[in-house]
Amino acid sequence: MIIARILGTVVSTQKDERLSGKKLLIVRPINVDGTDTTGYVVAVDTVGAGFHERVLVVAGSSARLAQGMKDVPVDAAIVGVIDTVDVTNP
Amino acid sequence: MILARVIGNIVATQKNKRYENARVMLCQQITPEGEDTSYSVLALDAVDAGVGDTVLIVQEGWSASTTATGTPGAAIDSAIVGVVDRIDLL
Amino acid sequence: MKDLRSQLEDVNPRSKQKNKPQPRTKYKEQRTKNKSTRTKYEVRSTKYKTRNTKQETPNTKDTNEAMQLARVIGTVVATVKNESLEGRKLLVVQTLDSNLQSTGKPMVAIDSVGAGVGELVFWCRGKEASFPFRREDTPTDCTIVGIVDSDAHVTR
Repeated sequence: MIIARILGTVVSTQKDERLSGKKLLIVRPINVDGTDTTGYVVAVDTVGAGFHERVLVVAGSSARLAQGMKDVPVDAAIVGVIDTVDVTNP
Repeated sequence: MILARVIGNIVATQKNKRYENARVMLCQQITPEGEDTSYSVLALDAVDAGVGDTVLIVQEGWSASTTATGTPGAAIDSAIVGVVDRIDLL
Repeated sequence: MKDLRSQLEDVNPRSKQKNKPQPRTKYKEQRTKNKSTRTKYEVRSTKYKTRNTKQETPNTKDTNEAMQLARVIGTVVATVKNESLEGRKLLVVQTLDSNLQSTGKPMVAIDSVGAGVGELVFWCRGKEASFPFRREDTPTDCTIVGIVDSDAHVTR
């Protein structure tokens, strides 16, 4: 799982019917010290994350185990909103 | 899932049986701001996307297979799951 | 830019170097041309040396399909999350290669064995990462499944 911050939303009307009603968010992975990496992922929101929050993103087939994603064709899901990250520098 | 722009069709007469009646589109990944990246991918289309559309591509096996052919287990790893209307960034 | 998995670990599984086999020839000089020039007596004297005198083969890079060694470097607290993750410990891990050097970027892993910060652990990826828990609804793609007892097991 990775830590990411929310960049924006994607609106799509014409899509697979199992994705209807799901919120699609663009997230950018961030390093443990808070700086951005390059790249992004479009993930389905399962926890009601708001803008500017740091979130926990699951990728791969495990994203279909997230709440409410049982038979939905997704490969990235937001499964948590992060309160604190505590990393000891080696 | 990634955002991409459809840049063309692929015609292949000899292919895996599960690919019959499927449209294979060549897509170029874009950044959320709309610029092309160097990564391109072939994806099966299930939502009637046209050349030039911005689309959402899922890259996980079960999801891609059920979206594109209705049943899992096909040799497919990327599928178009939606046509993007709008991308909102903060 | 690539998909999420390759963004996290920039490794190329095709970079294995294979050593070419020695060609079998009739003439001894040609055969020994590429070997090291050790005489019969030098060979005998190295007989009692320690076993770790094997030439270092180039390190094959870790593939994307294997379990990986890692060092636990921190913790993550998240109150709002999926119900199936309630009560689970979230740890930040830095993946290591076989020489215990950092490779790739830090990731967040769920703990299933009681690991603490600073320990050497190994983690499992993919759908199998949900198997230590309720496998039908625990969304995780990175689970710590073991703690390595000592470094000596993994250093060559």
